[in-house]
Amino acid sequence: MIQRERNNDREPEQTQQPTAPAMPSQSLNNTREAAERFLAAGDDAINRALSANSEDFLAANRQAGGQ
Amino acid sequence: MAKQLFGLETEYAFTALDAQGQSVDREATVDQLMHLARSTLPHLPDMHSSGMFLQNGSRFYVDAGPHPEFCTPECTTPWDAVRYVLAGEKILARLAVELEYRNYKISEALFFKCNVDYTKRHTTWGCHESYLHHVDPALLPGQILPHLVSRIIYTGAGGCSSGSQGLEFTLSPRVNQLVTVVSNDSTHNRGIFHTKNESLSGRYYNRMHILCGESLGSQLAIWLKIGVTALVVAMVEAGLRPGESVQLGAPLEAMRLFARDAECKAEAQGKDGQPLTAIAIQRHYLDLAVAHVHDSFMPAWAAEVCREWGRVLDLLEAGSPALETMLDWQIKLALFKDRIVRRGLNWETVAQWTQLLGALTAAPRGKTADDDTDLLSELVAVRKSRIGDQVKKLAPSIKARGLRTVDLTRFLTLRQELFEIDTRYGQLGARGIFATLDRAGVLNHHVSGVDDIYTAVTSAPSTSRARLRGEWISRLAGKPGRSACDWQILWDDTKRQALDLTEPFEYQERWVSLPRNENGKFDPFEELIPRLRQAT
Repeated sequence: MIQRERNNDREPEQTQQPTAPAMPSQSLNNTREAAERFLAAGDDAINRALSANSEDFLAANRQAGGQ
Repeated sequence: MAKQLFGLETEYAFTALDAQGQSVDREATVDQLMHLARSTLPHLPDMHSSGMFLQNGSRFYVDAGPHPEFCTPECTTPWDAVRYVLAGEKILARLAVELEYRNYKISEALFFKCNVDYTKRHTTWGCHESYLHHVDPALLPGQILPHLVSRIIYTGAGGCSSGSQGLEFTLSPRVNQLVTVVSNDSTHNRGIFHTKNESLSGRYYNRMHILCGESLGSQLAIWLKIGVTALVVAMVEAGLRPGESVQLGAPLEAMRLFARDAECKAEAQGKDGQPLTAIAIQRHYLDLAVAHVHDSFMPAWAAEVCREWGRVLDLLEAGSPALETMLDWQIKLALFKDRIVRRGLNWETVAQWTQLLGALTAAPRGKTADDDTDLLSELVAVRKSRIGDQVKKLAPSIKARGLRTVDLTRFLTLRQELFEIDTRYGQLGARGIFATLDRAGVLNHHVSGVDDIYTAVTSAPSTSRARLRGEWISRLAGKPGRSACDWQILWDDTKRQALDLTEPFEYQERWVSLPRNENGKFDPFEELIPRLRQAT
């Protein structure tokens, strides 16, 4: 469990590198690819995070309110 | 350049689950959590509660619910505000891991930086902001309300509308918890503007306490929320009346309208009848801030905030997809849309089911409506009830819309799944959805200069009284005696002296010894603060 937290403690990986100005079509392709990468990563993150039964999870997590 | 002072209080949902995924006694677990915090974190006890002040100047305690709450120390830049929010999260995430390690019954100890509980309509967790100011508090609502109503286009956490029987996206889930424009209540009759004015400083100061904000993951969104609002407060302090020409006819309705509009094009009616979009209101404040950006009443970082503020408004106006990796509500909307498609539905079908279920809710029901009862669960479970009869009655309508009754279960499953996604988005630790996306390097939310979070875990900001508080907590933590702390005072029981922190920008130590009262005794915790405030 401690190891898991250490993983979380890593600094976010820097993936953005400075690049030369892109041509419009190239820029569009880059945007599309970035969006696809983001959604694929999102799907993966969600699948890792979700419980087997969302309704049961939400019920277990049900609590009294804050402010 | 003027100095601004602000801070954030974040309420966290907290759950401990056993190996079967069942909730472990929450009250007992929260008690254990606080015991763990007391035994592992250098601190001084809070004078007024069972909580504590930590060596980075922050406050950690348990509020009603019970839920853990973390207050940042007093910050003077938006960079520090973000840094100390993140430092608080690191502290909590470590406590969660430690709790799992020490209690064999707990399989997972989970903190959620979420805003609403989807199983209980009126349950919400706040992320409050405090801004120090010198203005007559009665002047504030008129000048600040249009800002609070419209800023949700970049400060909204995003999520589902907890008031909907179907699935409706909202830029700001907390908007559903607001029932009035101005209020002094923080738990029931919540207003957009909260009139609480407990300065926690000397008598010449006031504190604006904002409770309509939300917990966020995006550094950019937190940074803008604090930075922009602080600039608006600075302009009000300078007598500029920045909200005067963008007054809204019905602020609460306008906020609900803006929260529903993911295109940011909806127009609310101004008091003078003019149509106002959220972007137009924000541009009005921005233009005024830019015009005064180098004035002496503005903080040194005003230009940087204005630049980013303008850039984000430009992107919002252009409907740029770049925001899908920058702002929380945009990130969630993109994830939700993708999930809907992966589940074989589409946004239009979801809207149709939502409309249909809304109609069903409005129909007479077999028993008294209960806010905490989830009608949709009943729909699945109670096939033969009068609600079931209503479904039958609606069958032609379902067919006419091109929907299939068999898709109802799929829709309901998706609904619960999106609720969990929203909750898990802000889960602290490695498995949180936002944290996972961040580690994957697909988000673009970082603010340059928000760094050195590990130092912020143990050291206070150097530009406010928090520095003195933090230093003396480090020295006195663990020593015998009744040393304790408050926002305005630190009692050193070893010397029987109090460190006066009523001046929020204090940088020199001012120790005070108090004479004993007529009984020959005094309670430092009850008597010091009124005396010091009177003297300030």
